[in-house]
Amino acid sequence: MGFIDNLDFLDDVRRMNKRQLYYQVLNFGMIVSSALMIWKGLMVVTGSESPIVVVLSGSMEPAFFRGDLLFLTNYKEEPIRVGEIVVFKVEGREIPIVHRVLKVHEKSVCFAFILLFILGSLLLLREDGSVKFLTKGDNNQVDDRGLYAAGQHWLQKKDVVGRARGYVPYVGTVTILMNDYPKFKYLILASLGIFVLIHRE
Amino acid sequence: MATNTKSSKGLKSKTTDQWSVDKSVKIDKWDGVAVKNNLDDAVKKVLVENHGYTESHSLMDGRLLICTVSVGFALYALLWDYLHPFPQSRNVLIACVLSYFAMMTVLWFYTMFCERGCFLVAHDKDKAGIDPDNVWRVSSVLKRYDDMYQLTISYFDGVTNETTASSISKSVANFFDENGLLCTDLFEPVVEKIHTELSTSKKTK
Amino acid sequence: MNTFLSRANTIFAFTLSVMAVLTFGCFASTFLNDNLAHVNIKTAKPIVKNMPDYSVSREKNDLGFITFDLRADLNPIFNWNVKQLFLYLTAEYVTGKNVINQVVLWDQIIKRGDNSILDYHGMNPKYYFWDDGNGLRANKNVTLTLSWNVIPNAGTLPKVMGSGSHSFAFPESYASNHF
Repeated sequence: MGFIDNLDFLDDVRRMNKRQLYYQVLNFGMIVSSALMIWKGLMVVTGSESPIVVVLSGSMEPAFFRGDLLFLTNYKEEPIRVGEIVVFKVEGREIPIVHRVLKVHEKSVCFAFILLFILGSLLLLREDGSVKFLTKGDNNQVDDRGLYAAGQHWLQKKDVVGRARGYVPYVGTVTILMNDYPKFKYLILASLGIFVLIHRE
Repeated sequence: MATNTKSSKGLKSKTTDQWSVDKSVKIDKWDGVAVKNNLDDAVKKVLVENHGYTESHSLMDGRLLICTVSVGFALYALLWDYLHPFPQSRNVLIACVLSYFAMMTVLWFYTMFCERGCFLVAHDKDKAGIDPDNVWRVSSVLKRYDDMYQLTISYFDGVTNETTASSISKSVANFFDENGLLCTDLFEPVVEKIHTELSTSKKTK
Repeated sequence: MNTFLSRANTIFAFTLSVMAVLTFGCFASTFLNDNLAHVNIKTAKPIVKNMPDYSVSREKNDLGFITFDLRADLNPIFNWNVKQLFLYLTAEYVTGKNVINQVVLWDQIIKRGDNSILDYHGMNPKYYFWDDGNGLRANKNVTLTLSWNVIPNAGTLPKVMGSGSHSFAFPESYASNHF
């Protein structure tokens, strides 16, 4: 026990019984759970699998800079129109892209119905196939066809993660730092976790 | 959230001295939470060790149960969302999120109306085992950036079904020395005084 | 409150909350603005050609050419919570293939402080006017509108269409592919 006695900061922990120890762990769990449940709740409310995103590239400057925060919604019944800022995923790219819609072509409904008869329920699963659109970053010289997967000329509704609805500057800067320096991220997370675990409340 | 139950039973402190409260625990005297915890533990020691009352853990257990269930909902949501990615997991997520926040409300009510800052419930068992227990409930308040420690002890007489309560409010400066050591010889008499006051008041009736 | 760290922490936390409240106030103060303005659009020299867009496929699609005039005063839209306007000129039309076609022909960013009175004559579009198929030739009703996306300092990102649109028709026959 000799060397443990010197670790003053562990005094609180050493003086706890097993109920308190368990409560310390639970308390830590509750902090994480609250954040998690707020996130999942936002997912349900906004319909987007990622309701808040941090801008990671400068392709939408001067509207959005690296580290700005965007709030997204993804209501299926809302049509996609030009000028809208969408966040989409491309096959083979891990990080979603935030760009503006430049062109929209929406197939006529009766055409979709004919397809519906032909394809039956298959189309029900992918009824977004009737809209196709092209995007471009405000700060880019050309449209996004070069960014899409090979052979892909248009985006469809299924590619969309969300559409930008709200904007707050700078708030995501810490996320950028953490992304750029993973060690920094682990250091911060670990020290926060340890602080909550050993600090008696 | 200052309810902590801590059992330092008499027999235990004999063998593991460093676990007991009085064993010169030095704290940061400017840290209000630590000061309060330290004083609470000392009160607990007086009632549980010196008077041999049995500590009841049911309040803490209730809190632990509520917390465990809420964390369980969160873990379930996390697992389900991992196995069935978002649009499919929607209904389960709604259920989990609502239950979680319902549990948080329950926890809030529990803190406000059941615990009420109470950190110790001790039972004074009838020696003959016939009469119901007498119950001591102890709660304390130490406001942020304030030095007034307010200690309230309530006593429930199992025979007459009467509850009496008494409280004191004193500056914590009275109980700690400059280094942040709790002076037990100054603090324990204060607790004892309330204790005698309450236990004699029942006998005079 | 006795150590440097705890004081720094308190100041930092307080600063953050004040900034959060101010940011919310910024958003709330402009939330109800309609951001409307009137726009005058005119077009000239509509031509349609039929050629392949090699960035998509070898198939021949209709490609429209126009020039346009634009007049609008967007100054009233600017306020303390408008960082920039993203203007875009949209051509909207119906073809046999698609019920809705929207093509952005031209866009421009106006930052706060820039000249926000538009007065353009004989402008060429910034982007090619490719149709998705062959629906431009003899199309009787192509509608041009100017819309803007308001980018705030903090807040919502409203998309507003200016009042005042212009419709024109493309000619009945393709122009030669050679200039």
